[in-house]
Amino acid sequence: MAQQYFLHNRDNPDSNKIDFYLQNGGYKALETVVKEYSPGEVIEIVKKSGLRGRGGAGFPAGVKWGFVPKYSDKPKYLVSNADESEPGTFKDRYILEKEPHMLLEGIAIASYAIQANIAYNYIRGEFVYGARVFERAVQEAEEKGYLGQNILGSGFNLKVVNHRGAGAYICGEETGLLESLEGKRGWPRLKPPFPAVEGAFKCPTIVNNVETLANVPLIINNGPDWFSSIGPDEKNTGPKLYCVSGHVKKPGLYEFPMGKNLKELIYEDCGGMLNGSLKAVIPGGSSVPVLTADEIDVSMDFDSLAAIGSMLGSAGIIVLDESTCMVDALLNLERFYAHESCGQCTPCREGTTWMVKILQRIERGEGRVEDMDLLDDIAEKINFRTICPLGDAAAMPAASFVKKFRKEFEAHVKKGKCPVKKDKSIKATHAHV
Amino acid sequence: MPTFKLDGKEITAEPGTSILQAALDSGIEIPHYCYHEALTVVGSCRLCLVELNNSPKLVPSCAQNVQDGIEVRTHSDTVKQARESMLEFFLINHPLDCPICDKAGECELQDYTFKYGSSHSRMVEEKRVRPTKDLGGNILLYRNRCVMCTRCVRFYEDIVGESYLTVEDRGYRSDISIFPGKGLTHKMTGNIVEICPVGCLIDKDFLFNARVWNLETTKSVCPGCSAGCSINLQHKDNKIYRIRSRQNTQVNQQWICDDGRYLYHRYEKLERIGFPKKRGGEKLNNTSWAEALSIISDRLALVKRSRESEKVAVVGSAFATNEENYLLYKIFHDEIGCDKFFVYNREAEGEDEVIKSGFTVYSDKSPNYYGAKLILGERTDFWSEIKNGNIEVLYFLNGDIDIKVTDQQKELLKKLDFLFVQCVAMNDLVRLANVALPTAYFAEQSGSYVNAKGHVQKFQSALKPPSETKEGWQILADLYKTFNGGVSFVSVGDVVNDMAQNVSAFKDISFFKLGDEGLRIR
Repeated sequence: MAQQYFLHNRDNPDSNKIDFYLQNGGYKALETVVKEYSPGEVIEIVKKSGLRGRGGAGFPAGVKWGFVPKYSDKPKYLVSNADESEPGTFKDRYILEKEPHMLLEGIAIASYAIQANIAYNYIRGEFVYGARVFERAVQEAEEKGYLGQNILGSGFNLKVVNHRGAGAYICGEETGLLESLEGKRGWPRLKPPFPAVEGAFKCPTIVNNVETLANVPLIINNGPDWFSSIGPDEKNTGPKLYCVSGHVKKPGLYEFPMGKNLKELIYEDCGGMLNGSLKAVIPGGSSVPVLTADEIDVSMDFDSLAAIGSMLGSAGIIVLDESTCMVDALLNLERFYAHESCGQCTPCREGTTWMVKILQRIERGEGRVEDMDLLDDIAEKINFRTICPLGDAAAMPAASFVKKFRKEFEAHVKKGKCPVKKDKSIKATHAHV
Repeated sequence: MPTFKLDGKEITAEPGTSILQAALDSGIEIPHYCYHEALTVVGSCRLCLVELNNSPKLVPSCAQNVQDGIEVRTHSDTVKQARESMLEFFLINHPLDCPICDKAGECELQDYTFKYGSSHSRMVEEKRVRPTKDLGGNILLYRNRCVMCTRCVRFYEDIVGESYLTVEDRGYRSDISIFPGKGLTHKMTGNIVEICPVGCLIDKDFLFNARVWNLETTKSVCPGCSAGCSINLQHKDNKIYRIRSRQNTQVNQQWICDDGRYLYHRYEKLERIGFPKKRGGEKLNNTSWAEALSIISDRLALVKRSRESEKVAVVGSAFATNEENYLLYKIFHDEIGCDKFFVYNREAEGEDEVIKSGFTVYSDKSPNYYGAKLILGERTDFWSEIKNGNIEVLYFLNGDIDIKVTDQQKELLKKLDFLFVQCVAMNDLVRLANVALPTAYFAEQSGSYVNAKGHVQKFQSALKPPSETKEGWQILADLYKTFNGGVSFVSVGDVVNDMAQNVSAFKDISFFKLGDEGLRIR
């Protein structure tokens, strides 16, 4: 098994304590950064590493940092996006609970790079344990002088504030998050202006995913060349966490270099299918286009998945076997998006629920021949026409399910009932983490 | 200034103008709901999406500012198709109850659907049905018709400066809501009905009263306070059905307060005078206009002949038009030689109320104090003048429907030899008069007012006064005729032209030049 950087301490109950972290070389990267590098140099290093955002969009982290106006007299903020709520995704939760100091060190380095003196960790409300662990980690780091005033004698100050969300998927969208952080309704903002120019409290703000930030100390310690040597090519680099759920023998959290082969991951590392044969895989969290069983011999990286019309997203891999009814599965997803739509933009607010109603009808056996085209058309009319990507996230699964599993949808209509023998008795017998 | 192409046409706009506003300004319609020129941009309705040469996605034209050299297409196939689908989304849960909706006829959902939408719906599912809510005040929320544009929410935040509405719940269940225990009691509330693009916010005052296309609209000026807001009177069958605000950036932006909005009801309840009256002992008897005017002119002629003009006083009014006050001055000063001119005004009520946008409800509840003073001078204390016995004949032009005459003042009026009054409704002045002339109120007459800032605006009569009641300027023009050998003014515009020649503040002003928005007094 390849070298691991996140999961190697998963069996150690002390992995989230600062003493353990320090014994294993923790906070060396921060020390190097504040003592030896200028903020600009840190940004250059991260750019060179090729680190791309792990939250879903895959935007190069260093480039994003570079968007912060250098000569603005406004305060700058760093926000760690720990509102992990994409169905099928549970990697940030692991970092928060087991490796909070990796995250904190990453937050500190990123804050130094953009010269922020306040950083927020916006953590999903349901992550009660994670919030507690993180807060303790902040306290430990402050006591040891890795956070707070004049960090390691460098003159750099950083206050890290843990902010718990109140339970909305939309607050994981960076501008919805910022609104919520400011105490308002989590309604995503119109862009431009982008947060790097006008973010939290109208000041330049960088919002990064937890896993993205946790990679930063590794880049500093081992160098950008080391980081970019991991992965299939210079645009898809670094170690990567993969969350596998569904009908496999060993679901759970896995770490491999960027570009792990999906088929290999399912059939070798996860022990293959639980019972039946493979029907479909959602490779990057519930929002991304679904893959059929024939499409899974693919490298799990941003560009390879994009090339076959899907996305790496959050690398939340949902494996579905033949006992899954694709209409029912899509209904489940769309019900989620309809429930989580903020209601601001028309297509998402109205379209998601419309799709749910159609899918419910098809699943009940009252579908019409024209419903498949209608679903596809509604998805098309939502896609790219909303303020934030939640609309796209609801549209992409719908379009891909209908396109790739149209026969199954049609079978529902023809038979006047659901033709799939469902097995809803999955038990996670071998949870990997 | 940025120059760009809009549907192939070169357009220049101020930097910082949105594409949508630039298009609207140049006469190209881009349908929109959430955008309102006076409110913050939210870009959420997605109806104003347009195609831009430098963007792969359609962009909301309300949130995208004009840039030099860009090419915008507002009628390409992609845009048309996006618009049509957006309107379909708006309509899937809409009850299509236009036949019983008060907004029908002026509804942007109707208009846009007709112009840009599809004539059939692909939605076969059950619609979302929600009961109508009473938001307090005069406002009903027909939730099934809401398009979630949030204009009403933003109106309170941006214009009033205090939140009264919010969006409750989220997604498909989003709902406009008041805060617990805080209904829509604010004075500016009626405006949200006007800015609601659909039939969601409905005014109980207008509920099921008329179809809007049957209403006639007359431009007018609100007489409710000295702000002088531009308004539209909407009426049919000689009855006002509602008052709406009329945009005038120099006066009221585009808002009016509820005091003004519902003011017309107060005139409906008045006990009108009906006929000219003359005194016969203790009683007031109906008489003809000819007789009433001849009694007055005979008395005034006597004063003139006996050179007793110092015994005559004239009270003009902050509630009367400039034309009435001016004719009064012309008759009494030029013809009789009188120099005792006073202006009646009621005492101010409380403090001026200023909201966030700067819109002000004035404590001076008269519409024309400024103008009356320009014409008649600054003197207001005619009561002590009567008390001192210096006045025998008094002409009292009033127009204030809320005038209160104290017992003490009644005694003073009884001391007069002759009291002529010109009033809208029965009141204590009329009851003590020797001759009382029934005059029209603002909606029944034409004229002009000068607001507290010195802005002159004209208004036109919308209603016909009761049969024997006349417009104030007409009464005075008829009286003037009796002194001037039968020559007088034939229209209110004539009076304005004469006033422009004789009152320096109104120099260069004519009824025509006043236009819809009026002019500032120099």
